[in-house]
Amino acid sequence: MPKLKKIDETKYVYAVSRIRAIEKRLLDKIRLDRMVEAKSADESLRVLLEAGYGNGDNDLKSIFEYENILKEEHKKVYSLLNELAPEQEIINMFLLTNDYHNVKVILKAEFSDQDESSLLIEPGSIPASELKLMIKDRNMSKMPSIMRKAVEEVIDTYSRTSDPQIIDLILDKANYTHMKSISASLDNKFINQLIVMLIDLRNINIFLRVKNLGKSWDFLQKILIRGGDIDTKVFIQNFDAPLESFIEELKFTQYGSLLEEGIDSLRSTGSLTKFEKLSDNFTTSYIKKAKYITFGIEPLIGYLMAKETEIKNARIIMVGKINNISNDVIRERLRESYV
Amino acid sequence: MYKVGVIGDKDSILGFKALGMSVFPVTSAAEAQETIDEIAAMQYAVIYITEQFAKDIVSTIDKYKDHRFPAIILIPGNQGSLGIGMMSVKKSVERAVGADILFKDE
Repeated sequence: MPKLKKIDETKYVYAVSRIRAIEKRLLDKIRLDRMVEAKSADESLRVLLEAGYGNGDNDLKSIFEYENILKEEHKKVYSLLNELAPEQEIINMFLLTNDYHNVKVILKAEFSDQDESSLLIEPGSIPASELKLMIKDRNMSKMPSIMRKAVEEVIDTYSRTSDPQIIDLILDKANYTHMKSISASLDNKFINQLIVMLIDLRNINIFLRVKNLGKSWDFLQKILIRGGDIDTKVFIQNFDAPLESFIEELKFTQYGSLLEEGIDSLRSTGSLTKFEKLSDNFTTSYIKKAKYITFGIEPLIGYLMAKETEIKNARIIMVGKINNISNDVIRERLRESYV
Repeated sequence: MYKVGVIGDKDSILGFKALGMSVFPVTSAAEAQETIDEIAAMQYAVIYITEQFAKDIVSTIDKYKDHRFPAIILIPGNQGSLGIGMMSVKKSVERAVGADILFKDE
């Protein structure tokens, strides 16, 4: 067994102090409430600008600029963490999702002969322009091996089946497998547990969606991600049984109450909106532990994920406001915040 | 090959992209007008436009009434229907058939 990489906490003294200082600027419940209660989308956006979003110039031509503002904010978070984190490869681990998104975009654009540049997300652990070149030239020797294998598999399978769905299936799975393999090389319980949890939640989501779609169990078997706490067998064995037996089986795991509530709402509304919100809240409440860790990488990851949730919330409110969705419905969809 | 275009606010029309149509998100009536003129000259046989924008650029839409292409069809946006889309279907039918054969009971 290779030696696990230990994270040297003392290196994080400065980074954590900085994070603690900016953490105070995260949107708290009061600010979010103000955004929801605002009379117009314009007013909601103003609250966001007050909280430090945008580049300090408060003269916006149109509320639709919110998309760029959120995108910029996303970039800001990552560049701040890149600047602060003494060990970049760990922060990079959380950039993988962007990388895989970019790979998908690049491949889909190539297969459908379209221009993709507006859909690429920066920053990634590999700059999007480099990814594009590697894929275009089919020269992927510099790609991490899990990613390279996935890209090769996509190219091969797509050329035989012309089924665009496999692009998402293969790459989403590789994304999690990749994160898991990095976390497995680290001697850090917080990260390890976090990734396991993300995989479990993802698998539950996959299970419910595949069941809802009435797809076959071998389809399920193919896309389930290995490396979670819940064995993939549990999903496969319960696939043909009623949902009760699945809930029963996981009742005494940490996901018990989440499942019960989420599936209740799935039954009454036919949608997974509530389950997805509960999953996010579940992750947030785990991440909150980072607040009590004095030195180490945890507060950085906590901040990163808190910020992601915050941006998601801001987007839910802005889209809701622009489309005249009622405040109650918006509030129902908002994720719990970190602060 | 002819194409289908959809013009409207982003949140209302993005879904059409999955059907293989070209979507053109706009945020103002002026922008919608420009887009219509721009894509009408291209290979678009049918252009859907949401009522919310169509109501402010009636004259532009009327301009294309007597052209063979494109056919401009009004659709409701995500804020519900204003009824003008149906009205214009009714008018077109009357013009083509000579009588209102769709809504005569109402």
